[in-house]
Amino acid sequence: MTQHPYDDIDAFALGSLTPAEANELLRHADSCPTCAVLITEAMTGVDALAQLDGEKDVRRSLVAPLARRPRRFVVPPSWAVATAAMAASIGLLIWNVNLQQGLPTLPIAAIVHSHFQHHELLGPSGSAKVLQATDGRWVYVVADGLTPRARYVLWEKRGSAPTKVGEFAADGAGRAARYFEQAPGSIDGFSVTSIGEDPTSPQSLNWSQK
Amino acid sequence: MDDTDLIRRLGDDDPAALEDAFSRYARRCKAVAYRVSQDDARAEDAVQEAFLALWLHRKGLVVRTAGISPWLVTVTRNAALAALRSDQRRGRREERVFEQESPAVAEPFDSVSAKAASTQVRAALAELPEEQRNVIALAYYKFKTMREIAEQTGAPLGTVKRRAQLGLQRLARVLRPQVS
Repeated sequence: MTQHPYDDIDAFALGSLTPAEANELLRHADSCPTCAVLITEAMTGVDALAQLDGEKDVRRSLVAPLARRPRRFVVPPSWAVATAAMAASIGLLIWNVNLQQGLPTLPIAAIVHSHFQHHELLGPSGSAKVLQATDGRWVYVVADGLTPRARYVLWEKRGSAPTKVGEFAADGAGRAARYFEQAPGSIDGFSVTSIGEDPTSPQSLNWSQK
Repeated sequence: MDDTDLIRRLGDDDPAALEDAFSRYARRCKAVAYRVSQDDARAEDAVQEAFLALWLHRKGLVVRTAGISPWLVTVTRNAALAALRSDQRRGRREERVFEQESPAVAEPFDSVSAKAASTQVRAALAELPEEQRNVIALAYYKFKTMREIAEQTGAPLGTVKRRAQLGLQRLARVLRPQVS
């Protein structure tokens, strides 16, 4: 497998892949830190569902309404199809472009020895994903769609005003990846901006804790 | 219960670690497999397959980062689903699964902490946006593939995958403080 199988990760966790596809995915993830992170997240979600397996009222309340719901065969107008297709394409783009093959990867030691979360940073000037240790000791930013060879700043929010985590540079294709270590603590939000730009700028890429 | 030592010993090729993992998690895996297959022998096969896979992937990053329980639950369930799908009587068996009133395998999750976790997961499920909850329910409880869900709901395949991803992320967040 030469490409990262991002599209297959949640399907794998939910049992939608064939055994051959599932084995291929696991073999890839055995040595790919980025995919290991994403599979871990999906597996943890399935593990949560498994905790409710014995609770039949949960199964009924989720499945019964679906079984009763008649299938809809309404043909949407063409603009709706186009809008939905565009939304899906953008969603896939955001998902796929963030973690591209060939970029520097997260240090293996970081994910082996700590628990982590990942966040999507959305905005008009590109897209980014930040992986962070749950205790805030490290963060790893991967971005795409940036201005080639431009320099950027990663900001984080710990309760009040945003503070600068560090700077990173986009490569010739507008992609970037950078790993930072820092003091532990709870993180409420991340922003990526161009150098000199305010983290609250509408051009920034943002994620914040709901 | 912390799996760190178990994972380290597996990584050191210690076969006794596999036995310890089996002692710790086989019962839960059997329950997960039985939910899918409703067949004792098939459930045993799925569990055996998962533990063999654990040994084969013992040095892999996902085992080391996910912890053993989520890894085994996912792989066991996948093995049970693969067997189910290969069965020509799949449709009839699925109906039986959904109508089943009581599981033949005793529930292993009767500790106070497990019940607390279950309450949290319930709350997280209830809070999911409907379209995410539907995708999770169809995939997890009705064993539908992403493609089948797309066909059934009329949503584009990419949208269905995205909803599954967002839903699982939210559920994972519920459990994360407990695994940290």
